[in-house]
Amino acid sequence: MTDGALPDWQLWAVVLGGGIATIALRLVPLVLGDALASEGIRRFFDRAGTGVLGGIIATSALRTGQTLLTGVPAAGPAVALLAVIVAFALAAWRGGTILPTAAGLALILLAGLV
Amino acid sequence: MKMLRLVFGDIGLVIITVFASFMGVGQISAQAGLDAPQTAIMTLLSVASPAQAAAMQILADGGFWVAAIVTMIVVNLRFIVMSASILGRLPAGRGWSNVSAIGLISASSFAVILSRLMGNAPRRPALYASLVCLFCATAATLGAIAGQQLAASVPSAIGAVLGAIIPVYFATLLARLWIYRGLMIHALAGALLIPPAYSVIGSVSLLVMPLAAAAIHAMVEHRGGRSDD
Repeated sequence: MTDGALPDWQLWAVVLGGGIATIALRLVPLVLGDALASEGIRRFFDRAGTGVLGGIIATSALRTGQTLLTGVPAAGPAVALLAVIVAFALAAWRGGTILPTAAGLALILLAGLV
Repeated sequence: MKMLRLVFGDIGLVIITVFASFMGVGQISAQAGLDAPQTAIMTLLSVASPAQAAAMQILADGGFWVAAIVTMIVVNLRFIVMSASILGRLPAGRGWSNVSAIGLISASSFAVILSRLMGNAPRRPALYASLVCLFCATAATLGAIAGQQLAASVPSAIGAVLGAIIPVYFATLLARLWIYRGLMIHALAGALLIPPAYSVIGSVSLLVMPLAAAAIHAMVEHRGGRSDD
């Protein structure tokens, strides 16, 4: 423990409290039981889930653009989003994940070098 | 063996990026005063780098320990939607196998599992989801421990490049769902609505905005009496 850090029991409280609470959150949908099998509920969570995924992609792309492309701070997020769109389009068109990922990553790295 | 090949084929890149991104969590955990076992247990249970980083920042700044726990809970509310979405695609009535399939779900494992189960799903989806979650959680835990021990000696540029893989790779996973027009609209809505909302209400936006969009869609559909998914 570093100087000025919290007492050990408080650190353990955060570790176990935060961790167990997180697992409990994941298990909340179990109380919905068979209702989740209904087409309407499943469609609702499919939509919400893909919305979450879209949000994760956009926020992490913007963050990547800001932190990785320090040479082009204004254009960084735009380049990262463009790389995501290129990778998505390639994957939707030709299938696969490795080559589209490599293409998108190469675009980000090239922009960082220019 | 076939299942393991499928899992590793899907998560090969993800494991690398998860390992790299959790090195940063390990580093900030050390700054907050956590030792290696505490870092490992916290990461294994939560597998949530934004939540852990936020909680560790509170501790490092000398904040109240309860505030750190509450922050983790708020940031991780999004897991409710993720596990509900996955659970709806697992066989009903399989108590423990479904618990293991969603008990350790993270953003990374969710992206992999959802795209696989909605596309060419394996015959045993709960086992597939469990293995993906387990390997991602293991990679995160090892990354956090490595970060705590070695972070100072790893060039930050390498970590940044590895971090760039995350959005690009997730986009290719999302592309597997390309044929579902309705879902693509929601992915696009999430991409457009969440970043600005994030700057106002923080990570809760990852829960609120997709749920709101899905609810609005359901209401419109209910009135129109049709589905376009």
